Amino acid sequence: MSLPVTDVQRDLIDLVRRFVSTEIVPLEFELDPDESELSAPVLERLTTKTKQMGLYNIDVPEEFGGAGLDTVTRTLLAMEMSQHRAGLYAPCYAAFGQPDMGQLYDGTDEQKERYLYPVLRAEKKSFFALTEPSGGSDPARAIQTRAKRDGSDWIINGNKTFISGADTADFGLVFARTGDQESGRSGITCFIVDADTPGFTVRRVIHTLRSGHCPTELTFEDVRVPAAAVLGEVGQGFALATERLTKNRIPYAAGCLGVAMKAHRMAVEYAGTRSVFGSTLAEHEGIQWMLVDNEIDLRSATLITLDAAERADSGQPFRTEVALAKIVATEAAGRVVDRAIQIHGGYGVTKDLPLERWYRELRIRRIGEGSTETQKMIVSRDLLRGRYRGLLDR
Amino acid sequence: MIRPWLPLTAANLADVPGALGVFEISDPSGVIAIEYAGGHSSFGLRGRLERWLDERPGLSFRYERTNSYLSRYRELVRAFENEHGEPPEQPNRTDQRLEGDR
Ligand SMILES: Cc1cc2nc3c(=O)[nH]c(=O)nc-3n(C[C@H](O)[C@H](O)[C@H](O)COP(=O)(O)OP(=O)(O)OC[C@H]3O[C@@H](n4cnc5c(N)ncnc54)[C@H](O)[C@@H]3O)c2cc1C
Repeated sequence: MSLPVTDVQRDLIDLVRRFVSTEIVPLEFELDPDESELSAPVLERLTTKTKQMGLYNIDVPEEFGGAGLDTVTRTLLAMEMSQHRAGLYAPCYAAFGQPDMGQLYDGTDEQKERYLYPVLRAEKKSFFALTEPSGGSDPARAIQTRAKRDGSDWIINGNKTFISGADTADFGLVFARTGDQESGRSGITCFIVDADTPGFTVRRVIHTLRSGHCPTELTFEDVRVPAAAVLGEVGQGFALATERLTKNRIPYAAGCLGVAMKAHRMAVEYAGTRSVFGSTLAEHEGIQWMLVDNEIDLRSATLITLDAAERADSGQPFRTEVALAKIVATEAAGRVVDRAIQIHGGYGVTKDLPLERWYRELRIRRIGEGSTETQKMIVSRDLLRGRYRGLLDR
Repeated sequence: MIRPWLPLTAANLADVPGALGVFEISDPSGVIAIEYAGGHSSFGLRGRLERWLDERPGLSFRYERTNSYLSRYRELVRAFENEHGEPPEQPNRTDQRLEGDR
């Protein structure tokens, strides 16, 4: 395994790094420390620049007008884009485009016109509704929301929970059971549901550690959608959900590492200037070891994450590598930010510094997008069923 | 919000904590503003509410302490919009997002 940074990638990294330090960080002196959004005129000013850079819609394939980056480059840039206060969940405040709704690439032409292109033009917002009160780790079994045929229409009934952004969205991807409860993953279908469809309600906002953005609870009461609302094939919704989720976990892991890299750099600088017991913090072994532990966490997690990205680009199966990256990056980043806070003492937990926000939000990252435990299940399943090939066998 | 409405007076504000949170301002016509005291506000809720003291006579206020001040603020604004079809009047400020929260 190497750390492949080409000249082109280096230039892109420098470009994004400069963008973060000159365009984003100064804004954060003014914004509330928990803010995740910019006003429309400020965002428009920034997106004009990212479009000139050729990096607008960074996650989108070229055929849909996006940047069309390979996964390794995207991963390297994700590590840069998150290096500011809101960077974990709102990297550069979406100046590089909205989060990927890649499931829509598989839609019909009509679905693309009505949903995909407006999302890419930032004219429509969407939500992704998989998790239910009955559980999010094992949605294939847990989904109880049902869709029944009525003529050529479908009628959806049920509840979803922890759905991010549904309170401001124009439409959502809703995963409902169309087979019987024992049908597992083959009984789940994905529907596109407009937020103004009668019977669809955002019942409440769920307040979490992350104040700038919130998940919601949804209710579907006899929500009638046409056959044209089915995304992909009936019964193939689960594959549609998980395929994209798997790939998205690579930049997701990289974003955690970006934040942790920034926290580590802050800790190194602070340790060199803060005096305690007659010398700087950096001269005390207890602090040096914390910094070394940060370095070990960051280097190992970065290599594992880039390995997953390289694997995804190679066209070979990458599920195990992605699961490892998701575990290692989220857990390591949490430890690094925790140590950085400790090194900053009282200042570390104030809202004057971004560390406390990263600490809170990183905690969610070990649960969202496939928790640490469910990722471990993926790796162990592949290990024990003989599908997994270790690093040296590949 | 379940806290009772109180007249907006210096004496009543003296008891408001300098904490993070959200608050509503009303006049006899109903709620006219929903705001938050965020991470930049000097003296938190009390500091933000003091800005309203000389705005106009006959105002009342109620508040809620919360660390989830942004999501709670957006929830309250959205609930108001759902009920009234438009956002509250917000006469005393511009976009809190732009001016920060000082
Ligand atoms: C802020 C936030 C935003 C979210 N946004 C969205 C969204 O937009 N759309 C969406 O669909 N979902 C969303 N989620 C839901 C998220 O994906 C789920 O919370 C997650 O999948 C875990 O599901 P659960 O909370 O139901 O926990 P459960 O499935 O009930 O699991 C509980 C705990 O047990 C662990 N566990 C599960 N199985 C095993 C096992 N076999 N062995 C050991 N431990 C196990 C889990 O890891 C977890 O720690 C969001 C969640 C949060 C917190």
